[in-house]
Amino acid sequence: MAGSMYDRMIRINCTSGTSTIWNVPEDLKPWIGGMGYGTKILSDEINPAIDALSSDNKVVLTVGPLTGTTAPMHAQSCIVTKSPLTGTILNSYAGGFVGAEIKYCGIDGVILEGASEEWKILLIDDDKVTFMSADPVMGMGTEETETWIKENLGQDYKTMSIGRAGEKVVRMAALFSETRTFGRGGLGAVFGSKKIKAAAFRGTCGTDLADVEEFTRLTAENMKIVKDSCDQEYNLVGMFSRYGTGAGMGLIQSRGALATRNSQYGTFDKSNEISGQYYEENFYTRSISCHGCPVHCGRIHKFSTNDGGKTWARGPEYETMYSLGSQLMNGDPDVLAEANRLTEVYGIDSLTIGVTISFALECAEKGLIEEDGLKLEFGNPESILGLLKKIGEREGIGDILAEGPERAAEKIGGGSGDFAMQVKNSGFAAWMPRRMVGTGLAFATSNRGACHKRAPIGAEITGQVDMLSYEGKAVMVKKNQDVVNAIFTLISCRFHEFMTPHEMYPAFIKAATGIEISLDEFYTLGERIWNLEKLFNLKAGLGREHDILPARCYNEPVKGEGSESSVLDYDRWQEMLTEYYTLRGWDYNGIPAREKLVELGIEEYIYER
Amino acid sequence: MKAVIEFVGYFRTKTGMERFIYDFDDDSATVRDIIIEAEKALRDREFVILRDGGLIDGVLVFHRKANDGMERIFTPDTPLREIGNSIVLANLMGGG
Amino acid sequence: MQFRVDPEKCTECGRCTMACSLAKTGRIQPQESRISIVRCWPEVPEIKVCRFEDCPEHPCIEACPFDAIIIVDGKVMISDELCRGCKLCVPACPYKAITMNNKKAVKCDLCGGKPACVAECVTSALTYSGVK
Repeated sequence: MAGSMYDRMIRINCTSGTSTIWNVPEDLKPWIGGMGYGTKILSDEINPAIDALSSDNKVVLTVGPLTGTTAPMHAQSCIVTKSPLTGTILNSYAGGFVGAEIKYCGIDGVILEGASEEWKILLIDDDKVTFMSADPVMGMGTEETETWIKENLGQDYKTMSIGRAGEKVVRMAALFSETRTFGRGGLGAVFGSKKIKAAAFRGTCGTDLADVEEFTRLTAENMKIVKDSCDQEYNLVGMFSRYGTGAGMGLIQSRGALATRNSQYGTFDKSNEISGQYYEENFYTRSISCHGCPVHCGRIHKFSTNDGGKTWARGPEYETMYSLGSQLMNGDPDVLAEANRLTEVYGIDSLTIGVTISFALECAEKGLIEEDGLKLEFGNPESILGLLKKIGEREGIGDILAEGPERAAEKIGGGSGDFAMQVKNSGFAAWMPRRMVGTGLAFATSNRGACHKRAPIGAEITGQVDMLSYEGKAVMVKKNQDVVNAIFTLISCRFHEFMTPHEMYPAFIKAATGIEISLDEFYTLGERIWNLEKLFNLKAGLGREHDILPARCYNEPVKGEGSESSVLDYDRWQEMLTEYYTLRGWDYNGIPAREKLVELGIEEYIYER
Repeated sequence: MKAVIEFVGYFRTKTGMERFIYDFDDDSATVRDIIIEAEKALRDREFVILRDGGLIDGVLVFHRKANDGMERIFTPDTPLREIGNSIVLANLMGGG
Repeated sequence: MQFRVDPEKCTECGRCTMACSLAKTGRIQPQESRISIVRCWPEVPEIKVCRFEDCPEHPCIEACPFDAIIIVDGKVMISDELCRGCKLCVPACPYKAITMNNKKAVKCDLCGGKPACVAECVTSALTYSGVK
């Protein structure tokens, strides 16, 4: 009985320019797909201590059992690799349409190995791989590259590409896919190190479902749940549907939790001008979906550039309204839209670059750096757009900043590490650890650095739990991390889980693939993947000392109205970290105990110092 | 006594105002009471946040604490005088 | 009952494409679908599907040398029996709604009165209802 996974992947050898079909071994199947497959494969196939930019690194791009099906909000594909930004194992996701196309190629994913001598475009037609010279598209932005591929090689291709930042191996360079982004962790740099400029997929195999009738029934039930949520005026996902992800600036601002001026303040007086509602009301706006998604949280905006030209971009998303908005004291929606567009052109993670720019501006204020011919001032569009380009091109001071905020601080010195707002060199997502203690713990303990996707954001910002308390936060963070890992095997959009009863996940898995897994087993799968990631990171040389926030969080109270002068108590915070490790069955140094690994069935991956 | 609802984010856009003020005859008024008055006054903006006596899912009520932070209010029966006669109204936040 | 397409409302989710192929073949496969969406950002998408009465000239009928494209109950349809696979109708359609499938020309047939795509469309970009 055919299910929705093809049980085969393509190994693409970039060194030799060849590819082979790899039939997925039986022991991979319990990892379900997506992040599960990627983490297991990478753990088995690379030495965690390698240089992420060497040809020894591998890129594991996968889809899950629900990708390309009618199950709503499962458009995403997953990439697992070693991150050149953080040195950790990285899992990164993008929505859009490439995930479904990979499935329709009749594969569960591809594994990129080695590195090419010459720049290439990979064309994947079902299971046939062609290496094409990337000469015609070198230097082009991501949208331009992908448009070229469609116009010249085939309109039906679904694409992914890097921009100039990836070409120059900027450590925070991202991989784009039709304006959606595998944003975090420097995937663009990994592709750059392999000299892969772009990849395009075109599939004719469609997908099967193990039990079409039951799957159709579940889909209808899930669509109703999503519709009912979206129909409610004040529902979170309903807000995303109507206003995009920038709908909530008001609440965050009023809670004094909107990181502003390199996280010195918790409020930004111009937050209204860069909110989702503002863009909706003042710019030509169209709603855009990812594959199969009825929420359509994406937005196309047409806007004017600084030089009076006309252009368009998809976004900015909420996270960018912080990273290129409040964090830089930028309250100009046109400048924000242009900065967002430039991140698409250069192919850069808007979060880490925003934090790197705000770091640089504070360094300049303190007299630690300067740049010939470029003013470096908060709120100055020239500074913001200028630094963005310099980082993208690795020019001047941009060459140091391109290494990421933590590495740049090491080079710049002068105590600047205290205010590089990052964990493991990955810039903070849009939340303030001093204002939201649980979220800060999630940032510090994330296996990929400063990640908000597994943080208890909703519970803290809505006041469901006290933002500033340390109690009970370790439990919440662990639970979020395990649950989200589990759903990222399918691969669910993060917003899907906000509405869907968890019982539906095992039901969907069974109807799609025939695999029977209980809800508890599903959660445990998430925990298993989390532990496997942690073991990778330990072997890569990261320990307890890296699960830490920058000194600003422990030493400087947040300024501004509504922020309660919040600061973290270092000792209390360390106690909470120990509590978290204990909950996870890890020792004081964050090393998983043998008993825990036996319980999870991954004892063979044990790390012993 | 004068009581205030401060509108934030989506509610500011929806109601077209930053705050709603109502003068109650006595000081036993609750959070629900001022919301009812606001719903009456803003009927033309389709401002409705109560259903079956409780707050509609996704509507958040806070009060500002003395130290300028905010605390969530879960029960509309809370007397306004206990919370400084003022509430902040917001919706479930965005982000991600 | 009239089938209407409004690209302004389309968010390009592609559920219609999946629903069509599922209805026609029991599998999800875009190549089997009679409706497809083409991205034209920042402009509205191109929606390749038959417009029925909203394409009153029916150039496909004129283009077919074998009279295989006919009106049935007021709706233009392709007869599978009469189609000889000559492909002349394909470029004739201004909406690129006709494709070749197993050597025969195919297009939307409204699923016999309950179009699967309409049921999936959450933005009402696709509707099937009484004429306004």
